[in-house]
Amino acid sequence: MAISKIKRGSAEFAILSVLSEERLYGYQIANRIVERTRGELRFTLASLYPMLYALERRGWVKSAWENSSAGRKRRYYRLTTAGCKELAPMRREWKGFFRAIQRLTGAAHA
Amino acid sequence: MPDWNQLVLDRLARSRRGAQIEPDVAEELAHHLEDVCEAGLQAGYSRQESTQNALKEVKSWTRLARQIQEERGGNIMLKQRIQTLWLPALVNMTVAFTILLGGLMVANKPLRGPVMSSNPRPIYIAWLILLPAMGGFAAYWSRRAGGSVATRATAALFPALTMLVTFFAILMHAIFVDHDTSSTNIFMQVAGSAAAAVILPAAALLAGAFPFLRKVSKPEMQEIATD
Repeated sequence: MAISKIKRGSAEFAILSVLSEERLYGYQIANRIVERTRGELRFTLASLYPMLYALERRGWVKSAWENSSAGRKRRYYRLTTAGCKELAPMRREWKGFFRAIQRLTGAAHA
Repeated sequence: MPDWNQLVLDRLARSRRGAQIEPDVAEELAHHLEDVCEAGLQAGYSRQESTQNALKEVKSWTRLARQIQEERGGNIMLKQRIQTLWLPALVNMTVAFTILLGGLMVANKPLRGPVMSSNPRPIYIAWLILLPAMGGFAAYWSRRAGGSVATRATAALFPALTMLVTFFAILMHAIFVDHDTSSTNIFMQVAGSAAAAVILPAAALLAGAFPFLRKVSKPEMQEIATD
């Protein structure tokens, strides 16, 4: 249960983080996360879109159909002001969480 | 390469929830699968391998449809309910009561007590004659927005339903609060008032709505929705 909550939380954080840099469409979001995490985090279609729609429902991201650089119609997502406000404390919490885990794993190896 | 849009629509349509998903969501999912497949081709995989890789993005279409519906469905259903029921019903009720009360005020009738207890008969009859048009308009509006037969009927009958609730509240108040059961003809009075306030308006509204209450075939429904 705790692991699934952590996974969901980290997935939301990952999506919001990449969208804080620029507007992206679904496939680009998935690719950007794979690149940034060096393959540690991967989104399939089935895991990405329900989460994007959940974030949109909460008003943290906003979507609009636009033409991509290749001239194809894609639904682009961008972070809203509410999403930006959510992201800042999320970043702090995740940093704190990983520091705590590192201390624990460090203590276990010592 | 397969027709990804058709493939997504077909797989979503296998579940009841999937069939209700908006076309632009299906289109978005199809674009994603198409991009995954193209990336596979560019990486040197065969067409078949790339297609298979893309299809591996979704293990259970039923589960995906449920998750998407949970995230997007609530808003859609609420919006649809507003468009097919509440808007036509409330406009119908507002117009019907505005005409009735306006007519009574113009005729300079006092509006004290139950509206039908005085003698505003000409106004009432004129109002009854107008009601089929209002019922028809509400049912037509609801049908254009994609309302079911029951929703169209409810939108058309809404003024009469409001009258029924009001009539019932007045009746309960008279019996249980005022203990006004002295009249020997109480049942005749109740029946008469119910007929004037509820049954006749309901019949008039329904008569107007009737042409719009037949079931619409699917192609016809699509035509209406895309108008």
